[in-house]
Amino acid sequence: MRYGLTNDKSATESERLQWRADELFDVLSRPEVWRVGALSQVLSDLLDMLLNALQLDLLHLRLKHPISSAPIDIGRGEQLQGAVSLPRDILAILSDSPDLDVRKWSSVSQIAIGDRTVSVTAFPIGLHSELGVLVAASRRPDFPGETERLRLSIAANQMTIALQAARRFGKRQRIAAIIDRRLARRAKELFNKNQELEAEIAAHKRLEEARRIRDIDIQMVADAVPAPIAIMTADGRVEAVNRPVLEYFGKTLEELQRWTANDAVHPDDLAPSIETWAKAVEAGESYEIESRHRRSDGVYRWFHVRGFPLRDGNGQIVRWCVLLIDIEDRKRAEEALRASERNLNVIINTIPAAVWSARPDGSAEFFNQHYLEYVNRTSEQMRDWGWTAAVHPDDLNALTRAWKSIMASRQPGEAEARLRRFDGTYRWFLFRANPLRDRTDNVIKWFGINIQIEDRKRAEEELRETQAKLAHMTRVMTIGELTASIAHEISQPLSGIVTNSSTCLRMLTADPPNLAGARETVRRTIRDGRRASEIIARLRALFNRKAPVAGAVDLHEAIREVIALSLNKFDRDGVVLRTEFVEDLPLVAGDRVQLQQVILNLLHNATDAMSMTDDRARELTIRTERDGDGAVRLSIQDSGSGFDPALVDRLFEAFYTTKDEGMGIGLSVSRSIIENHRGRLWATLNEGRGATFSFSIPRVPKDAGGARGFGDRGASGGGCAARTEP
Amino acid sequence: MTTQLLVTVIDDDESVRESLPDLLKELGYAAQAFSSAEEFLASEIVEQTRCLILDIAMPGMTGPELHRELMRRNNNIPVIFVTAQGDESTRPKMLEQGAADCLSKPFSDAALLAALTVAFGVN
Repeated sequence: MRYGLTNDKSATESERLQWRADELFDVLSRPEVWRVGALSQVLSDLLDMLLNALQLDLLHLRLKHPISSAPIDIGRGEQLQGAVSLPRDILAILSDSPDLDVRKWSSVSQIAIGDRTVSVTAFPIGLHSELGVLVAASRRPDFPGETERLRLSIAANQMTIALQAARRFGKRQRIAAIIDRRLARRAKELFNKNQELEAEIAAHKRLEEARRIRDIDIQMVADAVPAPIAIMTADGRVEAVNRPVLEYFGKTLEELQRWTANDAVHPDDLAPSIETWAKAVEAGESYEIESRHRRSDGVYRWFHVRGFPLRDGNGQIVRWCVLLIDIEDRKRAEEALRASERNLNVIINTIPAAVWSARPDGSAEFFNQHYLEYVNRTSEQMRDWGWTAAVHPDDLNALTRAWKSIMASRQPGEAEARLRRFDGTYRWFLFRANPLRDRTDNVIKWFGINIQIEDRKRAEEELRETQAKLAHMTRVMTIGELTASIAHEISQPLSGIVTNSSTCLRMLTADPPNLAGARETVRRTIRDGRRASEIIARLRALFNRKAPVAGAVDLHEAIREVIALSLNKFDRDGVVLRTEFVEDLPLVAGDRVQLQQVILNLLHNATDAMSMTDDRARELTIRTERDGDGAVRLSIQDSGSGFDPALVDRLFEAFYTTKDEGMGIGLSVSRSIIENHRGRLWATLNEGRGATFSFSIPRVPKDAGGARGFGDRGASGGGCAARTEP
Repeated sequence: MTTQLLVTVIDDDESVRESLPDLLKELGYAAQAFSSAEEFLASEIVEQTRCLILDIAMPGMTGPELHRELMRRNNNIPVIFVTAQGDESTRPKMLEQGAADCLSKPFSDAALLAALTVAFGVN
């Protein structure tokens, strides 16, 4: 803003000046002026105006910027007629006192500037010149007149007012700006803080919520679970327990919190429990241990203790949860099971037989000690199908087949085979297997036992031999029984021969020789010789221990021969023989000699049975008949003393005899011979007196060309035919 | 002429009945033969018999039974038993019973002669 200067000196000029000054002062009070640049200009204009209006020689204004307090020096007219700078004294005065104490000034001062003398006067701006000072100087000696003084005072006052207002305004502004800035900063701070706080609150809330939920869950669950649960803090102190804990231990929470030092845990288990727990808490890992805990009544029970940490969202452990599961019963059961298992193991390994088990597919699973020691192999070697290596190669195929068929039948079964013993020899064994079934009747396991039957097999072998021998012996014994008649028979012709020969010799040496007599004796000798030969031939046939010869036998013929052999006995014993032979008796399949043996035996028994019969005739009847369509029956009936019906079965027992001199094997051998012929031999009591012994044997089949071969009882002698039970 | 001593043979076997009497005749004795003890007892030559040759085992009355019967009758005819069966215990038993001898068939003529000597020697 530039104000034009005027050179008018009229009163209206003064007024105009005043008006301008007011304007200027007004301007001064506007805040936008108080930028240093603008302020200087405004003040300069003001000073110029005042200088001219008052015709001053010097006008100097020193101010403190109302806002920044920077010194402002504005001077006009200082270049007084050539003086380059402000008179030294004024300067000195101005610069000496920072606070411009006007008391230093007299109201008028005379200062020499150059060669002139000027009157200087100062007017304070501000009450105590704190705002500044206006210095005016003139050469006029009457300076300052009242009017000039007044005008300058007013100017100084106006400036003061304006400056003060400006300052206030500026201050206000400054303060406002500061406040604004501060407010803004504060608001920002508060806003940030608010954000943080909100976040914190939210997080806290979530945490709280989560914790609340957890707390609720834990508490609910803890109390609902019918097992003791304890909650520990993150560092392992017992914090809370549920109802079951309190009920079980019968202790208070405080007492339970001292569990490491009281009797809650069994003394033997306490140290390990503490160690396990401490380690786990430190490592932050779950733990478990079995220990005994004292019940409220003093009894210690086994528990499975399991502690595991509860973590928050950040994975930090906030709690430990400890579960106590009562395993007392389980432990007892386990112990009982172990004991029974031990017992069972002892039993299984003590059984003097080879015990084994197999899977449903037939592969072996278990072998008891006895088995393994017998075959001298390890469990690993025998397992699955390894056991087959211990079976005799000749028996293995049959045994495997038998085993497979037993498995297929799902029924108990057995088979025979040879097992190799630890010393390499083979022994006969009976393999017996039994299936174990589940509820749905599936076979889940096979259990087996192998029993040594070497002795039995040997015994069977020996028995067969013995039976053969016995049969032979019976024949011999029967022959022994026949000594009376057979020896009789042979010795008779022999005796005749000897006697006749002796006679012959004497007759020939007589004088004269009795040739006719001699001839007669020789004739008798020849005849007797022939007789003896026949008997011997018959004896040979009986004595001959031939293997059973299968043939088609004409029973009638066989019977007749036997009768012929026994005629003497019948005679001697007074037995009356009767035969009732059916016509066209079919041929029977069998061994002629053996059958004759049986008939012989029966005839002799019948005869002996009648040896005490004196009150009636000793009648012996031999009867043949058809037995059904396929068999033939022979019966020998006597009128003897019969037998005790209660003992009928014993009759056929080996070594059972009622005779003093009997061996008692006749009937048992006879029976086994008949059974070999696939027939049967039995005894019945007659209606009248005496007994009847009968046997029935199959006939030769009508369509067969001849008799079939037959051997021993058809049983599986050595070998492994599988026999399954119904 | 010396009366020949009568030796009676009792045996159920035909060959013996055939052959023995001839031998006895050759040995100088008179001989008769019966097939059973009952037949002999029923005959008339019981008193005349000076020696018996008896088969032990016979149907009906056995040889020893006949011997006992004769002794019961106080007829102490010497007896020679002959047998087709029996064992080593038979002879002692028979001798104990009072027989002169006991021969097993077949026996030689020498054995027979020895037995006859004993039988008549006793007398």
